[in-house]
Amino acid sequence: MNLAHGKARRLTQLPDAEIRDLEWSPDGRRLAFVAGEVPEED
Amino acid sequence: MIALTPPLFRLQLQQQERKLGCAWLTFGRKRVGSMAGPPLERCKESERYVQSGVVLEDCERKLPPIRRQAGSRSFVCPKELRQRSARNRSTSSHRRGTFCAAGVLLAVSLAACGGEARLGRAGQLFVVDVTSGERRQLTNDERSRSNPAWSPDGRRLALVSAGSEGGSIEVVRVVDSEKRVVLRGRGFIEGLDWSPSGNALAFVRSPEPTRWTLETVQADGSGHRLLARHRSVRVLPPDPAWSPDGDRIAYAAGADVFIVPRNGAPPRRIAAGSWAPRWSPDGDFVLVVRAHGLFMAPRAKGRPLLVAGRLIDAHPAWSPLGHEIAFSGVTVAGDRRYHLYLLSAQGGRLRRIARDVVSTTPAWSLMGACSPSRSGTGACAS
Repeated sequence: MNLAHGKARRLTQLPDAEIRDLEWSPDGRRLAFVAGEVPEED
Repeated sequence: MIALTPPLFRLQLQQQERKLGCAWLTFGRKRVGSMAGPPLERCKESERYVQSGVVLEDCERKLPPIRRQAGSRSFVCPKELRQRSARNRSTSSHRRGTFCAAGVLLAVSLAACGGEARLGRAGQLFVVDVTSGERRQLTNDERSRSNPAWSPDGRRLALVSAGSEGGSIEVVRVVDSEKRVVLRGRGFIEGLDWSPSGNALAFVRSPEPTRWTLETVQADGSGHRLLARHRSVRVLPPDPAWSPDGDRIAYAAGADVFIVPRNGAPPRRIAAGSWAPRWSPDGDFVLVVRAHGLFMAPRAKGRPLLVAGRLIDAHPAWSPLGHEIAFSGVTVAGDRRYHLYLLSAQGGRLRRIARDVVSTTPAWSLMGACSPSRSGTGACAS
């Protein structure tokens, strides 16, 4: 995939979830992340 | 960026236009720290947003769906996200996202909207293949996960796990999700960092807000060792980092950077008034951030050397070969926005290679080779 000229694309989606703590794998082929429920406001 | 283990910490941000921003760190209802930094982005409550997907951004369109409004200091969130946000009532102030700049795929945190943040809630660990989009869930229980860190060989993920009885460090084998609890104990754990050999983990543990320790443990749970104790209000993260040879760990305590041998000898301060230590790939220097610039502190004795001055804020990363340093930062002479800069490790002129990035550390591609692009803005490619 040519990232320099490619179009934006959604890689993954979790409805009603918040994704955070993204970390690239050392080979650059995978992403680890944490997803949790979107919190309720106090 | 401040990152603390849930659920007791809260980060409260105060936005002040044309002045330094302030952040208050609270433990329960008690304020335990504060920090000054560059101006924080001002966000209206109605502009809180939710980003529930990971998006690989087009280099020509950096950081949609968030865009900056010309002449304003506000993030603008698209209408559909605002509506979604209102439904979900999110209050987070930090988001992680991805963007690429001139050929380098970068993983960054998005400084997002929201005045008050609750950092952490139940979360599970996922891995997604960037090429195929295949996603796997590696944990699925009532515990809350955070801070995933890949082992150097890419086969395991260490992460912090929090439950009602306290925190722990887990190592998950990626291929089959087999999980091993490496360490349990009191206090909040953060800053996981694998040793270069992949045999050990360094981490920071805070039994209480003003007391914390730097510790290591073998990846199989043996050899737990306490390397340093500190009593201070931690405003900036300690960011423990193993030296490339695995003999030492650099970390920030208060506003000083220390090096501690992994064999348990006392820590040595190598840079005062500094934070965010980053080892040079050859292990001879530790790059640190100071109030007005980037400095390289020699691993051996010596004064830190100025690499780049006249900076208001910087989040640097060494190129894999150590010839260059990229950083997201704000310059004194600039427009008070975060841009992505590149400079030689020998110092010299800054090259701005991407505009309007976010205030977090860029990540280099594997080989980190950089050359000017046709547009003249700089390109880095693996």
